[in-house]
Amino acid sequence: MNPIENIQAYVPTSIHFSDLLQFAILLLGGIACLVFDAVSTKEVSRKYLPMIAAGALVMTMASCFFNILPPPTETFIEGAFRSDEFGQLGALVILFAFLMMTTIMPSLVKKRNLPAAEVYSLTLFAAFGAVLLAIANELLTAFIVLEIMSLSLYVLIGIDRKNAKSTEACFKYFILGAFASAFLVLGIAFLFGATHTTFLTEMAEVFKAGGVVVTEAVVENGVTIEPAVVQALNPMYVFLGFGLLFVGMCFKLTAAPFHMYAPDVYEGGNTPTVMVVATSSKVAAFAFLLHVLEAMSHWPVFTQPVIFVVGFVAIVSMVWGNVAALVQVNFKRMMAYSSIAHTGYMLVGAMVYIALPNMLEGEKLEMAMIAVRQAILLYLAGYTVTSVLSFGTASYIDGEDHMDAYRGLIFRKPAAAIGMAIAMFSLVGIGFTPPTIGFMGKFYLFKEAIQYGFVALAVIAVLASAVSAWYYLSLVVKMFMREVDDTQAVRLAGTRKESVKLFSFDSMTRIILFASSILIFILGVFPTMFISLGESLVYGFTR
Amino acid sequence: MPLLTLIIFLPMIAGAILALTMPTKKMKHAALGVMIVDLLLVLYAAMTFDWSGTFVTEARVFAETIATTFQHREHLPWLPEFGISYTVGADNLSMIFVILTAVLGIIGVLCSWTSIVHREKEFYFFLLALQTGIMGTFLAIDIFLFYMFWELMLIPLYFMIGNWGSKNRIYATMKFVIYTMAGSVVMLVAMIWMYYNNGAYNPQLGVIEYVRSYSYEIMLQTQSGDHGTFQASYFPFLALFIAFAIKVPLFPLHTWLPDAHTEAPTAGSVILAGILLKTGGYAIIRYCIPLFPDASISFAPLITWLSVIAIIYGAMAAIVQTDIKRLVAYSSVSHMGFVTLGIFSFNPAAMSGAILQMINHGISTSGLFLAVGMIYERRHTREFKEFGGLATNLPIFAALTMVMVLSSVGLPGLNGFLGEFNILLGSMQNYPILMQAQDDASWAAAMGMTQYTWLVALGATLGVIFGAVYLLIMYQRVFFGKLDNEKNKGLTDLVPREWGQLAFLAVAALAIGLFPKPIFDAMAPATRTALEPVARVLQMEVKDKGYELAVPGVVIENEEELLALGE
Repeated sequence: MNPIENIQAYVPTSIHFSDLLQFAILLLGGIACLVFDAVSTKEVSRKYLPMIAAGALVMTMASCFFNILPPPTETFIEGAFRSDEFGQLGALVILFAFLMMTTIMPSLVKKRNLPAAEVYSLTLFAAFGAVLLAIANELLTAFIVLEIMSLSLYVLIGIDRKNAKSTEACFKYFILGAFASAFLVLGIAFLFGATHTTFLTEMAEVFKAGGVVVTEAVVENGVTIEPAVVQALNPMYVFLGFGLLFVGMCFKLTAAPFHMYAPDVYEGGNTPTVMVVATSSKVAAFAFLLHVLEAMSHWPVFTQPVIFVVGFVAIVSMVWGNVAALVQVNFKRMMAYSSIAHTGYMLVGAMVYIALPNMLEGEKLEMAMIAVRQAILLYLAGYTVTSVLSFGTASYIDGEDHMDAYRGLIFRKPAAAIGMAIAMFSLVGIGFTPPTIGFMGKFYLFKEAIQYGFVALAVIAVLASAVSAWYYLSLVVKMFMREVDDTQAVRLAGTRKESVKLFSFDSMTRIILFASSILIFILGVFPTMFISLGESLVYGFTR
Repeated sequence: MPLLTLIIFLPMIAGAILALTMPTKKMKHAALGVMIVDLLLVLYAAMTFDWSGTFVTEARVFAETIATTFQHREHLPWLPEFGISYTVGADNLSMIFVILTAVLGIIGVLCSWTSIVHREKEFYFFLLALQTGIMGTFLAIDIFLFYMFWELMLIPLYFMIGNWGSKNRIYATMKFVIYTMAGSVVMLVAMIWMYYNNGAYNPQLGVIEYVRSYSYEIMLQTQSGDHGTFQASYFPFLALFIAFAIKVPLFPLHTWLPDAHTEAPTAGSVILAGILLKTGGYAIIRYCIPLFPDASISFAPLITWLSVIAIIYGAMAAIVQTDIKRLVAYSSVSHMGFVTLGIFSFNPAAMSGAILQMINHGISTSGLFLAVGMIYERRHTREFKEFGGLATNLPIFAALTMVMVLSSVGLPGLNGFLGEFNILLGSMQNYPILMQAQDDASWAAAMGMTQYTWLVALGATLGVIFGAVYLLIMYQRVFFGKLDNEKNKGLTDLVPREWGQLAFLAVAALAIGLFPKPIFDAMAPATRTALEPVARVLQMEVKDKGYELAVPGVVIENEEELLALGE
């Protein structure tokens, strides 16, 4: 029988869209934003659209606690989605950054006179795409939701049309992003050609069997006829497919050497959107990449070369990201390179993830894979919370993003300076600030690497992170140890109290920033809380 | 009562609360109060402490019952799935340093009394937080917890040097942080590695049984899989040792120290020299030697030579300094060289000498830094050429500084002499290295430990002489001669708060110098515990004055007998 015919004969019968109801809130919210804007005046929509958007996000986040999605053993929507740790807990992490974005946006909309309806509806659409990408089990579905997320973010980066830098960032992001998407689609096509399926769960079976299984096992006259392998996997197709897909994902993850756009986009784009690009889109893309790797890692041929490739990208990202960040004078450019480096750390985890099936078997393998997934998700959550704190604070520093704007911040805005310092310490993570999530995230990741024998890689990673201390701490030096002349004069005159605005944030943003800085410590001291929350969200609270 | 937890966390938590509630002017009084309460708690702990070294108790660590010598022990599971717990406890070694820390904490507040004039609240908060980090480092007996406290010490010092230091402070603080970090991140990798390779060979089953735990007590019993190979013991030993050696600091890793010491505010220098450097020596004695005796013996020749280089190099660098504080900083390199020399002689006399040397250095160098701080506060310069003849108008100051200088030089009768003498004595009879040197192919022989043991002692002795040279020259230039600089004529002598600090340290120096027995008695159990694993590797037993082969009835008094027995 022709395998291709087999695929074509597959017709979906009934689709339970209700499974995705919790995420549909985002979609409905986005549409509601558009409709509301059409029937109201500019001022009214500016006032109420953020509320609608934030409401939709909060509702979705709340619904994550109710175990709506099926367990990881089942796929849903006809196999298009499968939810593991990244399904509900990942959604929480993703939506946390989006929530922050909607709270910072109102002031920006007002200041730069941006179109409110577009901003909030696109925010919600991007969130919708991101949460679905994190649970996608079918490659084309993944591509579509990835594009929903990306296109919304392209527009949001360039929403400030009167700003030349913003437009430039938008174009760079869009053109290079579209290019990367093309790679992704071509990779998917090759993988389909090799495995005759686009479903990751089925692909995993194909890789386990080492080829495409066409017939099912049948019993004839009491004799079991084993399933026949009609077509062995074509390694070239698989590697080409994976390579292209990996390039596409590396772009989304800002992994070196596919990171070139990041500094410009981060610098030109508006801060809240950049924050989401740095965090949520990374969480979603990582989830998808891990799911692909999980499906493919069962094929022994695959392991060695891909460990090499992923390890190489990880090392290049860590080293180049950290070294290039040393010389930046713009805060957002620095954060771009720092984000490249953090991707590198997480790719160390991804590399361990690929290596596992060769080392362990059965239940042990399953536990180990869950542990690595949890470690990466913990790191992503930590990075998200920390970035929310740093970008959120940065959006309230007057005077562009130049590092000199941070001089003596402690005298002008002590709360902002302390928040930023906490974020920077957490980003340094290992080697300097023990009780923060940045430390624990790295500890969890490198622990996995060391446990499975990648000691040298772990040493490179920690040394790279020691290098990173230089630029993070330089910012702290600027904020705490250098003084701005006028504030110095004010301080010496003894009128410090009056001149200082302790808080200059909008109330909602202030609450989230405060929560983030507390979360950094809570997750740092009790990371197990986060892990066990993930387990209960995946497997139910009563287990 | 969770006594040790209280000792550790009281300073930081009280500091945070005080910084938020106290008026700025009252902050220093409050900080002093907290430090005094902390000292009282430490003294209470020391009084209820069994110093005899016979203390053994049964304790439960992760479903295992083990015998432990740690007292005031507190145990709480923290991240049980990774074998990480909050376990604190004290033995003789840590108790000595905890007392030193608590005392110098008070001096740290007192010496900042008038010299810190801006951002006082933050300063005292960081000073108190630093106290927490140091106490935790000394008292943690879970290596992961130890690592957390080890890192926690960095942040307050980073701010203290960076905010309240002198001209070149930002360069100094960044160099200090990056240097220390680079060492300690690799240490973390090694610690995780130890966690996964922490096993003991079970002869009955013929396999290595792994114990997944970060508990130091368990690791001590399983010997961390120390099988004398690169992977099993050299890598973790080196990673740990380099991190600790940076803190000590040992010769090629010392370059952060002169900058950090010179730029730090007086309190920062006092704490840095007085206690922080000791965390390095403490950690070597606590972790490197008992957990990796094989690797320690293998690397001992190299470390011995580096220590000798550090002693001579530090002293020679000190001679050419024109800045008083920098001179004292380089003298630290020289003095701490004695510590590593003593530790890696694996000799009870030298080991107790090394511990005593750390205490002495904590007293005398802190005193010298205090003195430099007092001069600086009056004249805002530390250059030699600005001074001369200060003894005429600052007699009390000159007298007390003299005691500190002599203590640092190692005058018999003061504390410095005993430490250095014991180290020199012990390093001449370092049996384990000699034993290993019998094998001509061994590294020890290649490093010249057979023929040139005398050179080690000679080099170290030269360091002592150089020490007398630079310190006395410094004293002479600053205090003797004519009072010819106009600016120095109006200087006032010390106020009671100032001479109180120096006098206290002087009395301590004199007391240790004249009545050393209690301190040596307190140190003896610590020395024995540290050296027992080494002796076990060499199949010997530790005695108070040397080693004894594990053959009953044969006591080795000198090395000829030992060599004869080896043949």
